[in-house]
Amino acid sequence: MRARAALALLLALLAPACAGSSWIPLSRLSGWHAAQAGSTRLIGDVAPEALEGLARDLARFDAIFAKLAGWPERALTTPLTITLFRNREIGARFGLGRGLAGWALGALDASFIAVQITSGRDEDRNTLFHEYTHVLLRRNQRAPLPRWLDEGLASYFSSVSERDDAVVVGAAPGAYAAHIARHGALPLAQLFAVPSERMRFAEFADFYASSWALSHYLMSTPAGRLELAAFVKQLARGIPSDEAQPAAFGRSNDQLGEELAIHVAHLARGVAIETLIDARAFSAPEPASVVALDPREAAYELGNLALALAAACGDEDKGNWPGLARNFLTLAVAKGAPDAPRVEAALGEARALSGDVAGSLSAEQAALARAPNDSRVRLHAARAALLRAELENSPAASPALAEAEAQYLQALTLAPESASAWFGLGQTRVRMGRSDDAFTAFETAKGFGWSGPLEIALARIHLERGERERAAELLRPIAQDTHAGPTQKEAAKLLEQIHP
Amino acid sequence: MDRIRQTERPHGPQRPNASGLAQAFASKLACVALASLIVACASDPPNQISEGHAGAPGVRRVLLCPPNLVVALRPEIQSGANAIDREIAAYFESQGRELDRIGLIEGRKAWKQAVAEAKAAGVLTNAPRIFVDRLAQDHEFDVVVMPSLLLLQTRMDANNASWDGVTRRMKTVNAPVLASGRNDSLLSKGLASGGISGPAWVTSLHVLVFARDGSRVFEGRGGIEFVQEIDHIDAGKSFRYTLRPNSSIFQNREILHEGVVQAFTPYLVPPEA
Repeated sequence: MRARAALALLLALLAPACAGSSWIPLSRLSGWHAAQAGSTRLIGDVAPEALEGLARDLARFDAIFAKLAGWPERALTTPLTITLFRNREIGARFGLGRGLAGWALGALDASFIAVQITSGRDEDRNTLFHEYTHVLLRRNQRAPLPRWLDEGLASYFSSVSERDDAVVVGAAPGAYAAHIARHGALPLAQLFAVPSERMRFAEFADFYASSWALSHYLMSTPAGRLELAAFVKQLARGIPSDEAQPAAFGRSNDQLGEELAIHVAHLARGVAIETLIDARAFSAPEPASVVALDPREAAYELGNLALALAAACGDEDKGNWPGLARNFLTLAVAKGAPDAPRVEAALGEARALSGDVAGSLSAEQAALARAPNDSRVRLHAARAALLRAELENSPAASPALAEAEAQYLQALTLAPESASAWFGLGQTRVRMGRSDDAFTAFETAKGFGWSGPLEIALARIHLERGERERAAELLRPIAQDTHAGPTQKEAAKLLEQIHP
Repeated sequence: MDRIRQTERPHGPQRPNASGLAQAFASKLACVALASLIVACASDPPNQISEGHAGAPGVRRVLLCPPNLVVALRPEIQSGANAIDREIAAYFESQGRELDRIGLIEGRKAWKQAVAEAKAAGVLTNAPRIFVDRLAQDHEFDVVVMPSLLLLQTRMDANNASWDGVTRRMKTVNAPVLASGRNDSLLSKGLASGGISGPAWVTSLHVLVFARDGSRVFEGRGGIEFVQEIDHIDAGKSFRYTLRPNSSIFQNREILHEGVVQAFTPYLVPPEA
C-alpha cells in the first residue's frame, strides 16, 4: 500500500524534491481534461471516460459518506479541485511518486487534492477516496482530528465500493491486514503520540496500518462509533487528546489494545467485518460533463495549485512552490491563455511570492485593467499587494498597505462570502495597527470558513486584549494537531506563553 | 463526526456496556467460521471432492452466491468481483446448468442467521446446512455455489510464479530498451530479461459447493493473476523499477476462464478434457 500524506508531511517531503528542477514545457500539458460535479472540479492528463468514471464514483461516494456520517449532502460547498497526474514527471513536481500516492490540502476558500494515477484501477480510486475523506472530515469539523484518526478514517472509507446489490463499507485492505498480522499493531500509547514530522519513512507502514486498524475496530460497531463521536466532541471543545481518549473510550490503552488484537486477528483471517447498505438507497449521480483542457488552461490550474501550496507553507518556508507557480503561469501567459486576466493576476501573486515586486505590480495592473470586476482577479491582486507591502517592510500608515486594504475591500464587494478575502483584510489591518478592525474581519472570515492560521490570528488579538483564556481555547486544538506543522508549532508556542 | 453520535442511541452513559461489546464480537464470530475454514484450506492446493460428485451428475439448477459472500473481498481486487462472477456464470451455462442467484445483502443476512442458530444449538459446523436450508425456502436448486476471490502472497522467480494450478509471468511496463552493439553485454541482457524474484501478491478464485442437504461436496481453487506489474522508472536510463497495481487485472477473459476452470475441476469437467 503506497503512502498518502496530508499537509505537514507533504511540505516536509516536497521541498527538496522541487529544488533545482527545470521548467516543464507547455508541450507536456497536452491531453488534459476537466470534469465538473457540483463544487468539485476534476482535472488530469487522463482519458475523458476515465475522468467521467472517477467523477461519478466521487459523487456516489459523497452521498454514501453523507448518509453514514449523518451529514446533509454537500452541506458546505467550498470548491474542491482534484488534480490527477498520469505524467510521472509533473506529478513528481507536486510531490507524488516515490511512495507518495496522493495528498489533500485544505485552505479557507478552497481545497485541493492531488493523486498520482498509476494503473487506472482500484488502487487509484481508493487513493482518491482516501484523500477526499480528509477533505470531507475537514469541511465538517472545526477542530483538527488527531493524526491517527484522520488517517485511520480516511483509510477506512477509502475502500467503499459497490457490488451486487450493496454498498460495502469497511472492506479491509489486504496489505494492511497482512502487515498487522505480521507485525501487530503499534502499541496504542505510541500510536496516539505519533507526531508526523518526527516519523521516519520506514515507520509509515506501521502507523498507517495501525491507524486504520483502530479506526476500523471502532467504526465496526455502534458502540465504537459512539466512543469515537464522544472523543471527537471533546477534542472540539479543546480538551487535549490525551485527556479525551480515556474519557471517551472508558478503558486503558492496554485494554483497548487487547480488543484491537482480537479484531485484527479476525481481519487477517479474512473475516468480512463490513457494513452493507442497500445500494438502492442512493440515487444515481448525474453524469459529469468532461471537456478537453487547452494546455494553457492546464498550466493555469497547475500554477494555482502551486500557489495554494506556497500559501499553505506560511511565511517561513515556501520552498520552491512560488517558482513552480511562476513556471506554469508564465507558460500560460506567454502563450495567451484563454482566461488571460486571471492568469496574469495569479502570476502577479506568484511573482510577489518570489520577491519580484516590479513584476508583480505590472502583472496585477494588466489583469485589473482587463477584468476589474472579476473577484478572483481582485483576490490575487489583493494578496499580491499585501505581499509587496510585506516585502518592502512597509510602515503601518504606508500607501502600500492602504492599497492592499483597498484591493481586499474591492474583492469583498464582488465576493462577500470569501473567507480568504476577509482573512487577508484582517491580516492587512493587523499590519496597519488596527487590531479592532482586524478582529472584526477575522470573525467574519470565521463565519465562512475555518483554518488554523485564522484561529491563531484571532487568538493573538485576544491575547493583546488580555483575554488569555479565550485565546487558549482557540489555540489548544491546533496545538494538539500533529498534522499542522508550522501552524501547530506557532499555536503551541503561544499556548506556552499563556500557560508556562 | 458529531452527527454520527446523534444517529445512534447510546446503550448506557458514555461507553458501551460489557454486553454491547460481547454482542459486537458475536456478530463478527458469525463470519469467522467459514472464513477461517477457507483460509485454513488455502495452503492445500489439490481440489477436494466428495465421492460420486465428479462432473456434478444430476445437477441441473445451481444457486450462485455473489463473490465473497462470507470471506472479505480485499479492496485491492474488488474490481474483479463482477468479472469473476460473469465468468463463473458463463462456465456453468456452457455446461448446460441453470443459474439462479442471491444478492449480497440477502446472502450475508442468511449466513449470519445460520451461524447464530448453529451457535445457539452448540454445533457451529452445522451453519452451512442451516444456511442452505434457509436459501431453499425461497429458491429452487440442486447445489449452492459460493465463490470467493482471495488475495495471497506467493514466491516469484524471475518474474514467474506458479500457484493454484496456474503459471503466470508478471507484466512489465516501460521496460528499458537493450543497448545494441558493443554495449549489449551479458549483464544488461540479464538485468533486462532475468526479471525479479521475491514475494508477490496474486489472486485466486476459491469455490465451495454445497449439496441440497447442506453437505460440502466440493472445494477448489484456481489461480487468476498477479495483482501487480513491474513498472520501470526512468525507462531507457536505468533498471530501477517499482511494483504498481496491475493495470489490466481482470480484463483478460482467457486468464479468468483458466482460473475458473481450474477452481471447479473436477467438479465440472472441462470441455477439452
